[in-house]
Amino acid sequence: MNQLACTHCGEPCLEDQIVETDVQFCCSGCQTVYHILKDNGLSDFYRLDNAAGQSQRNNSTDYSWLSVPELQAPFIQFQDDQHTRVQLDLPAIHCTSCIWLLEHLNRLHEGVSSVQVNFGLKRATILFRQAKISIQELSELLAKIGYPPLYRSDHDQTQSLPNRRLLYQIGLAGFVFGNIMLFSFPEYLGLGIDLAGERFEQLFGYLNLILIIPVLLYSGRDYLLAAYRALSQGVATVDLPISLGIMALFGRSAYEVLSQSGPGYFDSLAGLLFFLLIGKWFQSRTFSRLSFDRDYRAYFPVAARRKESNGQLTPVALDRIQIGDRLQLRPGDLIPVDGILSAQQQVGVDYSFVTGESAPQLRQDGDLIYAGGRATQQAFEVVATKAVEQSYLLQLWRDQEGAPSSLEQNLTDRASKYFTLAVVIIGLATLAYWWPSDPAKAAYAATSVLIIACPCALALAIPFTYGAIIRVMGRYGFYLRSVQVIEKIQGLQHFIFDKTGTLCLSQASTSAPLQAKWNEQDQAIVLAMCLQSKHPKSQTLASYLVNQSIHPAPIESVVTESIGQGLSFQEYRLGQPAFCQLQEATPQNAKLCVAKNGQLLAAFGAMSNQLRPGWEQVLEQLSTNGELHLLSGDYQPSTQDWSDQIPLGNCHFEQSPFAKRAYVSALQKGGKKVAMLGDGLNDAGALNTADVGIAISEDQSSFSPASDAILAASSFPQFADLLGFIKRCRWMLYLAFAVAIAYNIIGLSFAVQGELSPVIAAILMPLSSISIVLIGLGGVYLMAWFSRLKTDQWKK
Amino acid sequence: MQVILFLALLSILVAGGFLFAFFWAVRSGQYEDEVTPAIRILFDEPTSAKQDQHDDDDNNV
Repeated sequence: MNQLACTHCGEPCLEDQIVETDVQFCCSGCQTVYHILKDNGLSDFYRLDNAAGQSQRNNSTDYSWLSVPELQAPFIQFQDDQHTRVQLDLPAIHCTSCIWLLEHLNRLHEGVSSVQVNFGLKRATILFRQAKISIQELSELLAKIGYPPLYRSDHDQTQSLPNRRLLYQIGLAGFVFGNIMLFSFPEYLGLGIDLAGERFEQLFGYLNLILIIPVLLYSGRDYLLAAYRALSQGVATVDLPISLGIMALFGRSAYEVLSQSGPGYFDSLAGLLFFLLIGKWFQSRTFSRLSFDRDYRAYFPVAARRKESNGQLTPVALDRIQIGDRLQLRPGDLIPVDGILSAQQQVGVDYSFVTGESAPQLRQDGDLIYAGGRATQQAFEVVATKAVEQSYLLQLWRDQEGAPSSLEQNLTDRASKYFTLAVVIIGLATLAYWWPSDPAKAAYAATSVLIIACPCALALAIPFTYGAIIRVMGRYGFYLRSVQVIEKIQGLQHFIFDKTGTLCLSQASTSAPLQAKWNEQDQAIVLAMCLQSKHPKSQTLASYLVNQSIHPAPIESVVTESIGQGLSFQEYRLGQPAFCQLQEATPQNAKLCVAKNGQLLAAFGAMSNQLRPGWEQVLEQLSTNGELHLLSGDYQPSTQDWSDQIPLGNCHFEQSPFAKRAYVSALQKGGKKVAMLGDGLNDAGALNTADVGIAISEDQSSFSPASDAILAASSFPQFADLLGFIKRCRWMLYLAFAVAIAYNIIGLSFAVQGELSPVIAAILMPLSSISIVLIGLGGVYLMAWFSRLKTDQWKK
Repeated sequence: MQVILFLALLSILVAGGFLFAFFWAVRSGQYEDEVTPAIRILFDEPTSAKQDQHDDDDNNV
């Protein structure tokens, strides 16, 4: 059979292909999109990037809930009497053609005024005239051309605002730093008197004073406020010595200028703040397209369908669901709330999302079902017995909020306590030494100590060294949430793995059948049957057959699915050996059989989830410096199964999400530092509780539970190497610290003698800042280059 | 010597202009998307350039 690629999406066209002159499509959805684009003069879409479209197979999303004004309100950024602006997440954005097509949406619908795509965030800002197109119609239009908008209940409009403030602060500090340096040149070069005479030196002094005040009040504000807060709570943070230095610099300089006794240290002050703020910016620049803070709301739909007493379905926001409400769920919908099932027949509920166990569980009318499951084949109704927030699963998050927030201080804050103490003691000693002979010099020398001992080492070494680690790790597919995570990684002793999706691939796979006597015709029909079922075993079998280059046979009539047993279609049966009504003996170890009229066609062994490539290496390396555990929601596998191959001492099966979390806290109570690796909602509690929670993600646009770090699945084989790299980088930090201490000793030796002139300060302080930045950044990047780690495989 | 005072103030004024240009750039969101503009500039816009201009104006309401 010849393989044609769909003109729109590039996927292979199967038996139901649609061929026109020169072009062909895999499904009618793709054909529709192609014609919409062509008719509206947008065929450049295909010129920019071949077959750039999104496949339209399996595309159905319901946006009818958007017709309710109160449900759409959280997503509207701005609205006046003509225009509405919305910001929509469009995860399907993947190439240049996408940007082009979306930004020309106004050609498809006159109601759309403009579209601006943010490629990195996969987000579009759309301005439209609400009189001509509603937000629901807009969503349907986007879905029709292959970009279904993703509405999440934890939608946040105001993400990027704090970052802007930091940029303003940096801009202001940089501007003032430059100008003060310019005005200080006469002083640096000793030209003051020759060039301008007494009055100009004063004038420059006053100009500097005027310039520095906005820097102190705006750029330095966060440090001063944080120090004040720390002081009033009685804890030492790094802001304390910084603020001490800033206040000493400003007070001394202002005094010198106003008393006309000297030029002051305004340049050093502005430079210090400038470098500090850049450090802050550097470490705050993490991965905006990844979200580390998702809670259950990210997984849940925005609205559910409530069946009113008159039989009508109305969309209702999740937090408005009341006890006793009757909700209708269609196949694929997530059950948003605990409730009583109401259905005529048995239904399958897929709890893989919660437990990791992939086979659907059977429930019948009157059973209590928990939120977090997914309806599999049939639509059914649920009568809510709890509010969404009270549901069993969501207690994972609710309990979390009651837990004490970690007051544990990071390395910088611990060090800064001693640093502040040392600076104050040296300052007082200097004061005491000079006071009897020369009180004026005593004050001068003591303030010099405070000025020069500004904690560049603490305040710059960590942001730049750790910021560089975050970037380098990002390049290798290991995305860290913040610099604090790096410190926590250093002390890890226990590594806990989840099974499905973490240590194993989430998609089960099967090896060749134990017995097979089927021809291509049979296989084609079986494949067609499998494609109609959502059961994981059918899907596994389907992917096996597709890999054997089988094409599904065109079958019209519906395949009957007996839940928990198998599929039947005409004389074919597929499922558990007993279901197939074999007329011969069932082969040993057979778990899944295919039969035709009772004749065995094929028998398959256990369909196990394959271990993630590279697991031996990772586990071996990790076991040398820590203890390994396995926590799985699945049932204990049989003895021939894969668990024998894994050298894990502590394997625990049938663990509920709560049990997993309890396991982590039990280890922590024993004083252990624990890392948890997981992927699903069932690991969310444990990921949250662990010292370092690492979520494994197959691709960057998919959801990952709240965690401290996200590991790209493709980078899993070198996970242990990456951890080793982070641990080695601590030497770079120590080097930066050593250099900073050396500068401080030089500076202090001037200061205690009362010899610290503004010129020495102006040279020494920026020099120490810059060398620390270079050591931190350069060191980490050089180490990464020498380690020769493999770069990230995630498609950008 | 008055000229030095004049030049000093003038230099602050000029530099202040650049500072406000920077503030404007931050405010207009230029630092929030560093990827898309680089791609967008490569699209050929033979017919729709005017339309887009108009839409940009709408965007600032």
